[in-house]
Amino acid sequence: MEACDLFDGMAAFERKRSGLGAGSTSADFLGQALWVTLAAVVVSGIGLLAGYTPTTARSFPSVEYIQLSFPLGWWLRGVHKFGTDLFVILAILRLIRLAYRRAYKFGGEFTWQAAVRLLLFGVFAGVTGYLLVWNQRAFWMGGSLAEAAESGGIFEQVYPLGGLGLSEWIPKGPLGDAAMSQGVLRGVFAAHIALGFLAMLAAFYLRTYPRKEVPHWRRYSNYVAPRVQWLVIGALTILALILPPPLGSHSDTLLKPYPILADWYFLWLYRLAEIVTPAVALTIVGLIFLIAMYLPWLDGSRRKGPRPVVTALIAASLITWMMLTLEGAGWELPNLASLVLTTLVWIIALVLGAFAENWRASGRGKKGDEEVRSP
Amino acid sequence: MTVQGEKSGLDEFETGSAIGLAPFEEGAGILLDELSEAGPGMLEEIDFSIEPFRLSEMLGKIPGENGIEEEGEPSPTEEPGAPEGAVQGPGDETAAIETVAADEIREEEPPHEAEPEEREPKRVPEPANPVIGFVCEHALDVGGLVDARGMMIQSTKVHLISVPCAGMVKPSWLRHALDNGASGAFVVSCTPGSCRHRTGASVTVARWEGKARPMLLSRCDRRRLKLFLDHKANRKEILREIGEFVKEIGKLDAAGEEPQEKPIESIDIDGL
Amino acid sequence: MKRLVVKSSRPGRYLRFRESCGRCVSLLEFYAARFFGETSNPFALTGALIVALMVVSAITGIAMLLHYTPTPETAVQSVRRLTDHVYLGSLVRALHRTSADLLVISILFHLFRNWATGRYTGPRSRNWVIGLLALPLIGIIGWSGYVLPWDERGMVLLAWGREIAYGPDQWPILGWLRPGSIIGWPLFSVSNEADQLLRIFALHVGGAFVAIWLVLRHLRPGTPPRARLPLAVWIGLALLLLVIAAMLPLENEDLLTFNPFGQPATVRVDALVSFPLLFYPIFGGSFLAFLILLVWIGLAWLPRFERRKVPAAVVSEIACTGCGLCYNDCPYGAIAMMPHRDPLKRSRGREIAKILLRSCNSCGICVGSCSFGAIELPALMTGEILSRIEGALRADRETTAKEHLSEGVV
Repeated sequence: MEACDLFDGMAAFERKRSGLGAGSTSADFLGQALWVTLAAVVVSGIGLLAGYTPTTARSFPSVEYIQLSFPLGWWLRGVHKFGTDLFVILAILRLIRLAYRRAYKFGGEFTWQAAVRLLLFGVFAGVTGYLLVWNQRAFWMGGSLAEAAESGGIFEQVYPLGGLGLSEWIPKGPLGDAAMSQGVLRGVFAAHIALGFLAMLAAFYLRTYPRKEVPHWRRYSNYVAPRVQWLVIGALTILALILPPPLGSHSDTLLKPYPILADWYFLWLYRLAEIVTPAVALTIVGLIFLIAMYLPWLDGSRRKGPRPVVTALIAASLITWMMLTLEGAGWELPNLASLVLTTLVWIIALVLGAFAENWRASGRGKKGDEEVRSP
Repeated sequence: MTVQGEKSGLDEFETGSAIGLAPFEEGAGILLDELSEAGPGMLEEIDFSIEPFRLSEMLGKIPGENGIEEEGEPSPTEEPGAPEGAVQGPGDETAAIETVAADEIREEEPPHEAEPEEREPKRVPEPANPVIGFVCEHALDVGGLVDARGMMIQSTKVHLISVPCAGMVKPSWLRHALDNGASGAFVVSCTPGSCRHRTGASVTVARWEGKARPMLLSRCDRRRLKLFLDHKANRKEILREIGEFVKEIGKLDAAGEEPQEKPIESIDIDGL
Repeated sequence: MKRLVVKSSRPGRYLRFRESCGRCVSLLEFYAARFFGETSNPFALTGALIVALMVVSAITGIAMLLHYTPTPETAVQSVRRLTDHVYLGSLVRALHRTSADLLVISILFHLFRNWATGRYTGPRSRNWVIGLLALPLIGIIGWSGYVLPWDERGMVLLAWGREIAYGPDQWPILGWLRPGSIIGWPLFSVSNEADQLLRIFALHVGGAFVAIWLVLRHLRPGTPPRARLPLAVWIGLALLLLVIAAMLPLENEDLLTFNPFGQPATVRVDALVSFPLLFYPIFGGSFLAFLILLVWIGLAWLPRFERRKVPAAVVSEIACTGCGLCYNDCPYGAIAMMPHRDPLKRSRGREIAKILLRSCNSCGICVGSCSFGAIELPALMTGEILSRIEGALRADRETTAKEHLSEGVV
């Protein structure tokens, strides 16, 4: 079973290099598209750097200037925003594919962890980038996130941020809510750029060092088929044209909008924080992170090949996540109904998964996957 | 680096070398510009009657024969690195260099203590059969050292073959040399940090240690095989160490030990 | 008595000069290896040093980004505040400056070492050119770092930079095409101070991203290069940086607010980060730009003079078993494994090695790794080597036999 590589352009590259033609197939589309998207986001980010001023007074006007007057500014901003969204979607798809093919076992642990980290980089880079616009929406979203962190309480004790000049991290505004100041903006800006660096470094590390189960040295593998490049850049450009990222209005410390909306990939967190208290929501997030990072070791079965239980659990998590996101976006459903629905989904998933697992284990499934004996 | 008429290239061999080389006679050679130009056809046209030097004469502890002064024999007790492992690591290098430096000092001093008449001339034995050496062209330039057949000028018993990288040397060549009657074989390589082709030296070390395939077979007599890891700035040292190794082989041969095979314990096809 | 002696070929003057430089470098490496140990020799790890210093610069730079605002009014104040009031701020700033200096030194030594030891010929010319692209980029990033505080020195250096960029406009013949305006347009075609500072800022940070991308492309396909420093060298490097940063602190007196009426003619810069700037007061912008271009083109054309002389390796289709050992060992990534051309073998999943001629440097490591004799260098084939060995052994036997006869020994 071929294990998945994060940047799976390797197979296409070898095929091309060996002269047998046939660049990319659908199997490596994800990896190549991920790389092109990352490159597009970084390049457009560098362009945006030349127009964006990271001060509270001038950040929003500079973003307006970029969108409306800066040469090709609309393209830069659109590609940057939709590129990030595409990056997050591809990273999630990548994780799903790794998980249901169960490629995180038997040597693929590092690839799995790197994929999780890359998704986290993408998501946090998106959040910080969102904040940088400094319009109403961003301002208050940042405030509520900061509030959640403060009310969570655990984070402040874990990270002593005072020493590096970040003691003004969560000041209070005139309405008593957490307000975002210049120091915070600088911190967010630095974090945004740092995450960009980290993403590139993660890509470099993944490319240069081989996976253990592959006997050969893995080579330079950022080959991207031209048609994938055109497809991704073209799609992002078209999106930038027809759906210009909204500007909103300049942030106003005295006017709090309702509802406070976040990026689409954080809406589930908002909804969760409404159902349970923010502190519990953050704890759940921490648990999910731990489970995700250490899934290869939680799944201890020595059998090779996909496990139906894992697939079922992943499907259930996805459905829950989608429901939470939709509800966070405003799709109304009575609390009780959604709770019952979610519970049903999980029970069905677990039952189906257990049955499928038994069926397979008793050998009536596909030719049984052999147990992996330790060498 | 020319040889005819000039002693410049061989100055370093005139004194202090462990092999005890004699100075090259003036006007005694025909020069070829490049070995590549001397294709097989060209070599046949040239008079091949070469009178070889005898190593024992050069080591010449027979006073008065060549006019070479007698030298005291360097102490045979401490020869670090040579009999044990086949691979010479950095620690061994320094130890070998230090010991050899001590020898050199001793050789350069006139032998005050011993009286020439009383002392029996001791011959340092030469190997019974040739020693084949594979030399990385970046570690050691064989120009001026060898004749067209690869035989070292200073010694009939050492043949050098220049390769573009030590990684090119197949362990089966060394085994082939030993099996066909050579007294020993060695490889001169750059240090792993300075290999011109990046990984040749480390690949060679791995093959000799059995950590990379194709491996140097463990049944080959490791006393007669040696890997020199030397920096190309260090030409004198490399030649001195080669001389030491050749002397060791000579002692082994003199003690009557044939190049021996260990019994084959398992089917071993050159490291597959 | 005639002897046939192989003479070393006498190369041309340039090659002799380069070889002597190479010997100096090798000698330096040799003594350094004795001191540092074989695996931790920084003089053999120049590339990894560069990567490590780039990482240090990036981390310290991002740390400073927390406190710096790129507006003309607040730039100087923010840097002063960083140096004076932020915990460890002056140390971080000094580390940034020191690591940038050491980075330029390392790049220059890396360039010299690889030129002197001939590691730029043949397939390695691609790396050479990419490295030559990275060098001026790093220099420009360093220059822009001086401009960022928007103080007196920064303004002077900005003006110098503008003169150098627009310098080609004043070249005698080519100047008619206005190359300087084309070069200078992306950076200097602004209408106000704020935009200028933002562009310099984008150059500084964005340039770092581009430098990382260039390093990614510089790393040769093949066995992974030693791009990671051993821990011992990392610790030594960190200590060195801290010591230098502590000994040469950045003074706040350097940050004088810009006085448009009294520009100094020369300013104090670290000679290493942007050393061409030292020559600006002497040469002026136009000539300096010409000199830089000349040196760069000369260096970039060097590999052209030493093309491949030895043919690349060849694979025997009959003997190759597809084991892949040559593919593992090739340091240039010049071998690819592809499905066998013979349909019968292909149907059984057999692969064959294929040489990528563009990448092969004729080193012969693949020959050493093949147990089946399926890959050979045409210039030096296994048959010839084995016949040489046998010839030497045979000649010696005959000579010994002759002597024994003449001496009367049976």
